[in-house]
Amino acid sequence: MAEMSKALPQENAVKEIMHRVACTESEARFIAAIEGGEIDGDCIELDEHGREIKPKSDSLRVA
Amino acid sequence: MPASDMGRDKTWQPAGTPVSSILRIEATGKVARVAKESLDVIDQVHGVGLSAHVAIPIVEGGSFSRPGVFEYYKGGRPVHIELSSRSSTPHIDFTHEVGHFLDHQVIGHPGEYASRAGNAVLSGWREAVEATEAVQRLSDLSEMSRFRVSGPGGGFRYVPVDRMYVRYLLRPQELFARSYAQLVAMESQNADFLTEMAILRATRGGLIKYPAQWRNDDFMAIRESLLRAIMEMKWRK
Repeated sequence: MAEMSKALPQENAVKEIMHRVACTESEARFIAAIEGGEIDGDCIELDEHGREIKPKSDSLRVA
Repeated sequence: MPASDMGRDKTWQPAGTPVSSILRIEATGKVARVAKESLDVIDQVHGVGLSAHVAIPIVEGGSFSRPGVFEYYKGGRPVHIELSSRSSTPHIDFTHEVGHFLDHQVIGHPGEYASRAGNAVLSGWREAVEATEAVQRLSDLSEMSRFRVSGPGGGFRYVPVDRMYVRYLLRPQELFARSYAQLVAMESQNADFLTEMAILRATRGGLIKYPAQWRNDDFMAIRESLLRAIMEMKWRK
């Protein structure tokens, strides 16, 4: 039940992004996760305790 | 030998350690099958010379929003590659993560992305990537706030560009991983890889095209530069 109630807002967010920025569903899923702060990309850096290090927003600059 | 001949005349062979020997499949089911099939293809395209001395597991993980993951500790030590069984383009997604692993652990100094660190062996690749139409379009999009797309009734509408997503696509390590996966698809001509690449490159009306992958003609200079780097690193002989 908890999974379902969590999944619905995520699906709504994906649909909203698909419409708002005119992208595909797979792009919208990725963008939703980035915008939601869940992920920074597909490369994950861990601290010494195995926790994900979330870079600050300025790390998104093009190197 | 011109780099353009390196992929076609088959006078070369993969050299050194097979990529499959530095990645250990610990997943089961679909993920294990995809990883095995992909590694068989990669092993036919290149080895990793004599310098590789790491081995990491491949596990089931990721998610619908992030089908593949490469994980490592802050100090640089690699942890594993994850692949989701729900990926719609699993061979490309997996090979993309292998690209991250090679970039981070095998090319240049272990623990830093050679693509981002300015490693000399990738200087030709860097120039080639920056000159492509796809990357120029992404660079243009990164400066735009809105983009005109066709509307459902035949007119047009303006939609905001997701510049955070575009900047992510322009990260050097992401450009490298996407280049690498496309190179493996093109060199192997494997049916699964080519089908998935077609899915990723499909264009649809009414949407902004974020060109993550390259058209074949736009990719040729990248291909040549990567094949030169592969020869230089003695991943082929």
